Amino acid sequence: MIVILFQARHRAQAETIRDEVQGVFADAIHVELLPAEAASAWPTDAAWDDMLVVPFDEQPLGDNVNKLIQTRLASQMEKCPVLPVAMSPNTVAVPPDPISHLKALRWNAATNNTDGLLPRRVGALLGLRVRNREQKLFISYRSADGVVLAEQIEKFLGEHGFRTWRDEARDEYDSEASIQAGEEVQKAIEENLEDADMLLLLDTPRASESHWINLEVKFANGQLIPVLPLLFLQPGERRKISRFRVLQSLQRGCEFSPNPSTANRVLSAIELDTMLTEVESFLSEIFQRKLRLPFLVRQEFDVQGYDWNARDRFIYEAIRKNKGSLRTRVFSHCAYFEGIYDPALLAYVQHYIDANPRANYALYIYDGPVIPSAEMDDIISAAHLEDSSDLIILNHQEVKALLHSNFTSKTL
Amino acid sequence: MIVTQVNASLKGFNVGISGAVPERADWSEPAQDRAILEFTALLSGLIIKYGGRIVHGSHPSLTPVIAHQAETQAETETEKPLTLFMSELWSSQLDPTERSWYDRVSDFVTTPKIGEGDETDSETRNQSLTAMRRALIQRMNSMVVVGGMQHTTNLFLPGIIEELTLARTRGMPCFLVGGFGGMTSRVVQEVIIGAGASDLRNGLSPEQNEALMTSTDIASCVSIIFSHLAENPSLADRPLVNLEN
Repeated sequence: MIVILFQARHRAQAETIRDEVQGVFADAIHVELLPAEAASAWPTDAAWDDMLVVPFDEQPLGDNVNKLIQTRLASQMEKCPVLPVAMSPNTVAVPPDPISHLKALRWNAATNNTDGLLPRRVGALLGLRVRNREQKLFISYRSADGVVLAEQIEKFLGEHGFRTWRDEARDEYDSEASIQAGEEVQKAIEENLEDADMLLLLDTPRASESHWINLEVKFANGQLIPVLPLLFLQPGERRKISRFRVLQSLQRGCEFSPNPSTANRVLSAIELDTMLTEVESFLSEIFQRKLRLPFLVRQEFDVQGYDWNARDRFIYEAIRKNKGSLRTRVFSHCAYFEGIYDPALLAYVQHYIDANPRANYALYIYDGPVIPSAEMDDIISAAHLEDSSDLIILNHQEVKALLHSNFTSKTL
Repeated sequence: MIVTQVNASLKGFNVGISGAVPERADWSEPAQDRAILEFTALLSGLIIKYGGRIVHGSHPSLTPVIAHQAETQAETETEKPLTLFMSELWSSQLDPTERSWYDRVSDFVTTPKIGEGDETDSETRNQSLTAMRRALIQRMNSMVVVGGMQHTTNLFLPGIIEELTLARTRGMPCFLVGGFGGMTSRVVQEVIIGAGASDLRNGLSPEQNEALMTSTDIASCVSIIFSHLAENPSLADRPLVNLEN
């Protein structure tokens, strides 16, 4: 849930912010307005999409607001980011304590909204969360000419609420011996990228010479980890998008104006803002694609003659009348998360156990790449679900075949 | 007991994936690149998971995605359910690390360079790719076409046009995924207006072909193809014209 914690004087703007967010994400994201005077605790149980939006101006936030903010900050920022919005950015752009370390989004008095900046930030942060990893932006660079740039970008992104990791290329893997031992390098890269949710590639002149970075880019693309090249050109260099052929073909990137001293370059505020726009747009676009999952699954059920309704925020119930008075009842949970999100799976199993009436079938439908069988066995074992009956865990690509067969085509 | 698979087999299918992320100016949605990559990952993952093989011409935008699915979905460590073709116009430029990667993830087949120029020379590029594509299509028994560059600003031949022409010459079932833009969406317009989908010889109903050619929904497109192949295993055994004759 996104909570907009507002002072009475900001009620109208808070409602506009709510409308902006719901205009982009519709019913997929719940937005609640919380007046500061009533702010004693988070209004619901913890949820995957928790986020706190705090409009502010030159006046103090008040004890209630400060207390709630501090509670949220203490309970791991990545699980509930705090997004300050400067209502008078020309006079007060820096949030008050305890969030003075965060960069604020800006309210535009002329257009009477945030110009889409807040929904984009929300989409980017939630997009990182549903990847079901550590929500880290990896800044991939070559030490020869990328350190100074990496430091600036790391600081800038941190101030805007993003977790980052400086991923320096391991030049020791450029040796002949390491090149021959390809599997060893690949394994090292796999382990290195385990926590990466996006790769920001500092595409400097020396970066493309690195075997490590070349393989890392290829591997990240293979795993559908979003890769955004930040192309730093030298004077006279004519190039588009990236020095890396695979990234040229994907046609996303951020180009910086030519500069002779890549290694010592100081990035301007405009350049950093442009980069941030590209990063957030990329992540938010990916997230918005994921929100279509329940709609897509519903379509498959509709085709097979089921009536589909939301039983609660967690479970959809599909019922089909068969011959006579027989009915087929199917419970489905459509997970936005990539792969299997253990808390959601366990909660769903419990929901199903507690449900009355019971369903004939219970589906846990996940998104993202199809999970290999061996990995699926590990997930089920880790969740201690080996003895759970009637549960069907499938990628949403497999749902149509299951429904078409009237649940007869399932195998162990 | 928990169920994690449907009862389906795609053994015997050598499914070609023809296409690429189109030029950005032609994207019909903000994240068209992601749509095509996710489609490719899901389709190739499912095909390999259920026993089929993927054949692809090593386009840089799709190869890492397909290769990753081949590595993770293969049932055994020695099995390589992926065949990648590349012209020596490019394979000769691969450094040992890259060559090693291609050999590790696939049955890697290189075809001769035709012409004296480099990859920027349109004549050398077009002729070399034509030679590669003939060998590539010969290895497939079905083909899925998605996206694809249009090359309106240079003299390069759009790859999916050539590959689709060769595939139709062979008589193999072709599936046009037209909702993700690029050259495929243009071909779809010609198919709908012209000869019609029966020319694709894929066995889908007119309604299914239309859905596949116009839908922007990855799940729906992958489902149509996956379900159809699973329900029609004889498509893998259809006698095909030999391009080598």
